[in-house]
Amino acid sequence: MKRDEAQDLIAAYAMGALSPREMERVEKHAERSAEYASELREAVEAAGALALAVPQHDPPPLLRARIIHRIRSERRLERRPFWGVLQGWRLAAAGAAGLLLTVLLGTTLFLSLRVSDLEDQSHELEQMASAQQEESDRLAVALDEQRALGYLMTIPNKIVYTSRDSPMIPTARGMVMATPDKRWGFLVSEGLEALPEGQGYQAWWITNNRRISAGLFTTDEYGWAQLLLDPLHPEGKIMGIGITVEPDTGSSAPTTPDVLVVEMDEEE
Amino acid sequence: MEYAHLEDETLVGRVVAREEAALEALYDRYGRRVYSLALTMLHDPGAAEEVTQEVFLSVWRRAASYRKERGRLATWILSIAHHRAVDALRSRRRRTQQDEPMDERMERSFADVLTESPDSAAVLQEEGHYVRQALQELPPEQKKVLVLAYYHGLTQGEIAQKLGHPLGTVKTRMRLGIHKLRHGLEEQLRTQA
Repeated sequence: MKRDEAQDLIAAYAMGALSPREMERVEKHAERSAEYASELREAVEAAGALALAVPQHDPPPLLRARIIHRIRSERRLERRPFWGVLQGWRLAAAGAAGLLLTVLLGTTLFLSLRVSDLEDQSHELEQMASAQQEESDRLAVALDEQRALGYLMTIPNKIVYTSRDSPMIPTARGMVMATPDKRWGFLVSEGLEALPEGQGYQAWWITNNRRISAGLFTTDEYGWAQLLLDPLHPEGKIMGIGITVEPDTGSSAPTTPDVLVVEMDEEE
Repeated sequence: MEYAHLEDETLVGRVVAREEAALEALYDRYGRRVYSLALTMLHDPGAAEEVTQEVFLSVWRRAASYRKERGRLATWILSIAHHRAVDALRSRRRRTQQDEPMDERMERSFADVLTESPDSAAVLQEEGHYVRQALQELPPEQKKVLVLAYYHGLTQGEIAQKLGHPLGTVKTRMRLGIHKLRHGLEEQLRTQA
């Protein structure tokens, strides 16, 4: 490789402007020459610095939880081969039992029962592990929501809309807090009554002509509730958020009157 | 165990050992930079989230392949982010068959990367400030080639076509641009020291 060509390739490599084949060529050349490797490293560091020149923005608060959730799913898959091996062993055991069947029926019966026991135990363990993983994922997402709410509360210029008095539940209060750019926010409320089993609260975006579900939530023992609103504006002009009582699986449109309304006097 | 205070290399080792908390610490350290780079390049928060997610999954899967002697961890992670964002840009261009001239978006990105971000954390802002200053000091034609290659993911051939210059000129400008940028950054660091 000629010197000028090698230098051109270093620059293009650092800028990510080479094809995979050309990149491989550069890397092989670097393996043979320490000086070239050092120049390549310096160019890559310089180009990498360009990543720092961009304006900095906070990623959405739930992105972290989503990444961890994906990693946990991958870990579950990574662990699968172990169960695959175990299952293979069980199959082999079952095969051996089948062979023995022709020789000694009693032994085979015992072995197959034993294999069946092991299968049940293994299945049970897998179910328990999966349930624990789901619970742990759910807690991770809940914790991240708490972090997001905490983060939102520390922003000095956040936008806050408060509820009007509720004629149905006078003690109930609510507010919508949003980031200054109105990309996401939280609905928080207190004083809403605990509902009987099978029912839940559903929040609705109020638009000019229809209601759009913003999500389901329940209250804790103190009547406190929170609901992440991400994105804050699903579509069109939003006039506020209404809360109704619905079946705990949710409704496609409100079936009861609002128990609480937060008006969001948008000028858009 | 407190992961936030561990050094980069230690954290990578922990990721190789499959410790999720180590990856979370790396996300806390570099997630904002990765997301910001992707957002600047793609101008689409959803796509930037996607790239950020893929970058950290990639760190999780390929941590064992990181070699300290080849560069800093920050450079490695941001280079994965850059490659992912370039892939996304190229695939978007293929889909929309966009081949516009120096349009508004590209012009805007010149301004973007040279603008101070008022809400940046102090350290990031300081680092970014050095780089922006070093970039500002490049001759405009070299700066343009670097911006088109790095932030728009254009190949040298595409840049030559877009600017109407011979390929050799683009290669030279890129080489000189990187060289000057490197020295400019060293100069900035020396001045600060």
